[in-house]
Amino acid sequence: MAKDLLTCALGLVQAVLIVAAAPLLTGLLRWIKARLQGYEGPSLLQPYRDLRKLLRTPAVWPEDASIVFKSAPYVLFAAYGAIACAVPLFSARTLLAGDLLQIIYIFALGRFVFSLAGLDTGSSFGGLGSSREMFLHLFTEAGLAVVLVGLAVKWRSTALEAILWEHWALGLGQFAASPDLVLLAFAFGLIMLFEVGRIPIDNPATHLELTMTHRAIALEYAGRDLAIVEWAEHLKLAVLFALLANLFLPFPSNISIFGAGAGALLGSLGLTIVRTAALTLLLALWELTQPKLRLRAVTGLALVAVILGLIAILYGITLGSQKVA
Amino acid sequence: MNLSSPSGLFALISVIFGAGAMAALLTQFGPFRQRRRQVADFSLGVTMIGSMVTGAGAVRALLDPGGWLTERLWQMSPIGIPYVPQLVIQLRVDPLSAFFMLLTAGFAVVVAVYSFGALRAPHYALQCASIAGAFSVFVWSTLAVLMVNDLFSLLAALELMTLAFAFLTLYKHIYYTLDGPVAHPDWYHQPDAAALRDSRLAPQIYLIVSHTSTAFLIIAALLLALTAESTSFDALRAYSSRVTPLMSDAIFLCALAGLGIRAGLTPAHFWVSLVHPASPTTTHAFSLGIAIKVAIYLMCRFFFQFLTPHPWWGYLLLAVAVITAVFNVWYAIASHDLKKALAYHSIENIGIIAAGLGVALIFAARTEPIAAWISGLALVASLFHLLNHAVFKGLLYLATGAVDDRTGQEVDIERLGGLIRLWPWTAASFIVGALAISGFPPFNGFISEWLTLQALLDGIAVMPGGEAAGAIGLAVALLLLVVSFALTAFCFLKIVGVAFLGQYRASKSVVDHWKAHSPRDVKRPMIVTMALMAVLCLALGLAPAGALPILSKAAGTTLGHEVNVGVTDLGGIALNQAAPRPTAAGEARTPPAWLDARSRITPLPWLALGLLAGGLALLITRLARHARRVAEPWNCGTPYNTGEAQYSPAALSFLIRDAVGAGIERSPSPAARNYLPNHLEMSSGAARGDPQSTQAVQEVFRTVYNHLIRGLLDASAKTSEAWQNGDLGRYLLYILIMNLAVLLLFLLLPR
Repeated sequence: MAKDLLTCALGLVQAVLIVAAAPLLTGLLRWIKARLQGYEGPSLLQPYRDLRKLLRTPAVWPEDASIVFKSAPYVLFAAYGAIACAVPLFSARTLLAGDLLQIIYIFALGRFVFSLAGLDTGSSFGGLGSSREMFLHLFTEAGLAVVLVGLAVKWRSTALEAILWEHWALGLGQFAASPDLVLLAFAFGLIMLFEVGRIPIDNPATHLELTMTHRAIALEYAGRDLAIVEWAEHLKLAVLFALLANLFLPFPSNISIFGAGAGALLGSLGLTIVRTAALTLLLALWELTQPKLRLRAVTGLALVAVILGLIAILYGITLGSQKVA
Repeated sequence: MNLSSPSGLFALISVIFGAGAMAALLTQFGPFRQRRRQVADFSLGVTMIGSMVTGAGAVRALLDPGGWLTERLWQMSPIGIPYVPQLVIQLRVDPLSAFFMLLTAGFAVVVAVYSFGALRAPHYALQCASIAGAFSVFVWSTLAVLMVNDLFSLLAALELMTLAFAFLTLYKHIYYTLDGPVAHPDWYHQPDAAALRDSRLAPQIYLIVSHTSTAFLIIAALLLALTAESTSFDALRAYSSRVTPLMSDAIFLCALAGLGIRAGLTPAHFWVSLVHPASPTTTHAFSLGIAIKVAIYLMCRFFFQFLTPHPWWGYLLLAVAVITAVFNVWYAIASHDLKKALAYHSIENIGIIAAGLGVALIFAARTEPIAAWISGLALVASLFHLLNHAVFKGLLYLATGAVDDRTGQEVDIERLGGLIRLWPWTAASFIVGALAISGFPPFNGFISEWLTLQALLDGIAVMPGGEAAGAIGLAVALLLLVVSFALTAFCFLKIVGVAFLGQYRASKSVVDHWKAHSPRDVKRPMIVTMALMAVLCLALGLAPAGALPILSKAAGTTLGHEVNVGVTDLGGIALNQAAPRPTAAGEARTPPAWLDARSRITPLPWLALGLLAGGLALLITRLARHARRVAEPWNCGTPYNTGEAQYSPAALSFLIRDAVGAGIERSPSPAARNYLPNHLEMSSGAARGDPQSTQAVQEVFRTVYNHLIRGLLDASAKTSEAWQNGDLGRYLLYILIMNLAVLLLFLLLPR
C-alpha cells in the first residue's frame, strides 16, 4: 500500500485530468455528432459554458424535498470521483487500488442514491425515472457480472491493475486472437451503453418527460445542483471510456502504460487522446445509425450482452485453461 | 462456581435468565398485576446482564485456548443394551460456538436496551412483561443451543427455542374473544382482518413446521448416534471419517431437510414471512437477525464436523441457496408490508449465507491444496455475511420497530410515505440499513457480498478443465446471486422511497394524528441502539480486517485447518490466493514491483477520496452565494397535485414484474380451502378504498403446499376411519406390533 511519490503524483494528475476533461469528452461527442449530421454544431467547450452558467444560478428545490434529494448530486459526484481516482488514463499508477467488482458496486451506489432522489420529490416523473433506472440497473448488473466472471476466471483476480497488466502483456495481436477476450470486449461495450444511458437505451438529448430515464430524475434539479449532476454524468462517461479503452483495447507493447519514463508517459498520453477520440467517433456513429429502442425491447439487447459474455466464459473455462490447481 | 469453564458460565446465565423469566410469571399474581412495566424492565435488565456475562465468557473462550474444554455435566448409560448409545449431557465452547455466542449475546443486549423504550408503546401495555420474559427464555435457549455438546441436549434446547418463539407469536391473541377480534382502545391503527388471520395462523404454522424440522433432525441424530455409538459431539467428530458413504449421505439429507426448514431455505421458506411478522416488532430483530441463524451454526457442525463432505452435497446446498435468494427477493418485492418484506429479505440473506457454505462444502470435499484455501475463504465469507446480516438487518428491524412505535403499528408502506420529515432519526437509520443490505460501499454488506463472489470466482477459476460442469454450475450460481443483489437494491429503493421519502401517503387525518401523538422521534434508548447499529454497519464496512481474526478462527475450527484470508493495512482485505495466478503471455515480461495483483478492497482510502470529491463539489457550488429557491415539483406545467400523483410501490415494480413475467391476478378470489394465504398483494386495493383494484402475485410454493395439505387431509379422512376408530384393542395391537418390530430389528442386526 505504501505508495511512492511517483505513483501519488501520477495518480493525482490522472484523477484531476479525468475530472477536468470529462465535459470536454461530451463536448467532443456532441460536436462529432453534429458534424456528421451536417450542421456546424456547438463549440467543444460548450459543456464547460453550460456548467459555468449553471453554477452561477441558484438551486431550486421542490417543496418537501428532504436531505436525500439535496445531497444526491454530491454523493453521485463523490462516487464517480472516487472511481476516477482508480481508473488508469495513461499510466497504471493510480491513487486508489481499483477492484472491478468494487467499481461496479460504486456505480450501482450512484444509481441507487439518484433513484432515491427521484422518489424524494413526490413528483410522478421522479418515480417514473427511478422505476426505469432500477429496471435498467438489473440488466446492467447482470451484464457487468458476466464480463467480470469472464475476466476473473481467466486471470484469477478482480484487481484492475492485474487484468490491465495481463492484457497489456498479451499484446494487441494476441488479444485479438483470444476469442473470449474479444467477446468480453463487445459485451462490455454494450453494457457500457446501459450504464451511461446512451442510444438505444436512452436518448440523452431528449426533452420529452415521458421517454426519459435518467433525465427524468435530473428534471427536478436546477442551477448549481444540476451542474454537479451533469458534471457527474460527464465523468461517468469518461471513466467508462477509459476502462473500455485500457482494459479491452490493450496498448501496443512498445508503449507502456506501466512505464514511468517521460517518453513512455508522453507516448501513452498521446495514444490515450487518439484512442478516446476514435472511440468517441465510434459512439457518435453508433448513435446516429441506431434507433432508440422501446424500454421493454432493451431486455433483448441486454440478453445479447449476457450471452456474449457467457460464451466467453465457456471458452475461458473449457479452452483457455491455464489451470492452477 | 468456576466461571471460566463452560459449565460455570452456563449455570450462572441459567440463573440470571431464569430470574428474568420467573419475574414475568409474577405478573399473574397479586400486587404485580399492575406493575407489568416495572417487571418488564427488570426482565430486560436481567437479560442484558446475562447476555453481557455470556459475551464476556465468549470473548474469553476466543482469546484463551483453555476455553476449548469439553465438560461433562452428566452421563448415563441406560441398561447397557448394545446399539443404544450412551446418554451424555455435555457443554463445550470452541471458537465457532464462541463466535455465535458473542453475536447472540451482543445482539440480545442491543434488543434489550431498545426494548426499554419500545415496550413502553401503548399497544404493548398488557403484554410487555410476558414479551420480556419470553425474550429472556428465547435468548437463554439460543445460547444453550450454541453451548451444548451432545445431540440430546441439542434437541432439547432447540425445542425450548421453538416454544419461546411460539409464545412470542401469540402476543396479539389477547385481542381475540370468542366473538372475534376486539378493538383495543390504545391502538390507533386497528389491524385488518387479514393481519389478524395471519397472526392466528402464525403459532400453528410455526409449531407444525418446527416439529417437521425436529423430526428430520431426530432421524439425523439417531443415525449419527447409532454409527458413532455416542451422542457426544466429540465422539461424532472423532468418528466422522469412518461413517460409510451411504450412511453419511442419508444423515446429510436428513440434516439438510431439518436445518433447511428451520433456516427457511426454499422450498421451506413459506413459513418465515407468515410467522415472524406476527411476533412483536421489538424481538423481531433478535428472532430473524440471530435465532434463525442457529440453523447455519448447526449446518457448520453437522456437515463439516460430524460428517466427511461429499462433493455433491455442496452443489445441492449451493443450488438450494441460490434458488432461495432469487425467489425470496422476488417475493420481497411483491410485499408491501414492511415486516413481511424484511422477513423475505432475511431468507434471501440466509440464501446468500448458505451459498457461501455450499461453496465451502464443495471445496472441503476436494483434495487439491488450493481447495482448502477456497473452502476457507467461502466459509469466512459466509460467516461474515451472517455477522453483517445480523447487524444491518437488526438495524432495519429496529427502525421498523420505531416506525411501528410512532405510527401505532402501521407498517404498510402504501400507507406511510414522507416519514423522513416527521421522524428523521428513524428514517436515517433505515436508509443506512437499506444501503448496507443492498451491498453498497462503504457499508458492511458490500464486504461479505464481495467475499462471497470472490470465493465463487476463485472456485470457477481453479476447477480443473475436466470438470467444466462444476465450473459452469458455479458461474450460474454467481450470476443468479448478482441478480438477487440487484433486485435487493431495487426492493429497498422501493421501500425507502415509498415509506420514508416523498409525500405522505396516509390520509390527512392520520398524519394529523401522528403529528399530535408522536410529534418527536422515538425514545432515547431506541435512537441510541439504532445509531450504534448504524455505526457498526459503517465500521465493519470500513475496516473489515478487524472482524477477520474471529471469523477465521471460527471457520478454521469448522474446517479443521488454518484459515487465512489476508488483509491490507488500513483495514482492507487482499486475498492471499495460495497458488500462483496464471500469467498467459506475461511470462516474457515481469510485472513491476509495485503491482499488487491480488483481488483487494481498501474501503478507507476510497471513502476518503470520495468524500474529497464530493466535498470539492460542495465547495464549488457554495462559492457563489445565492439564495436557494423552493418551488413546486415539475408537473408539466399543470397545477401540482400533492401526493395523489406519486408513484405507488406496485407501479415502481411494474417493469421488473413484467420482465420476470409473473402473472398478475387482480382481486384474487378467496379460494375455498386455502390453508396458507398464497396471494401476495403487490398493491392493496383496500388501502385505496377499491378492493377490486388489488393486484396480487401468486406465491407458487404456498400454492403447492395448499395442494399437498388438501391431498393429505383428504387421504387421511379416508383412512383414519380404519386406523383410528377408537377401539382400545386395536391400539394395543399397534403397540405389540411395534415392540415385535424393534425386537426383530435387534435380532437381525449384526453384532
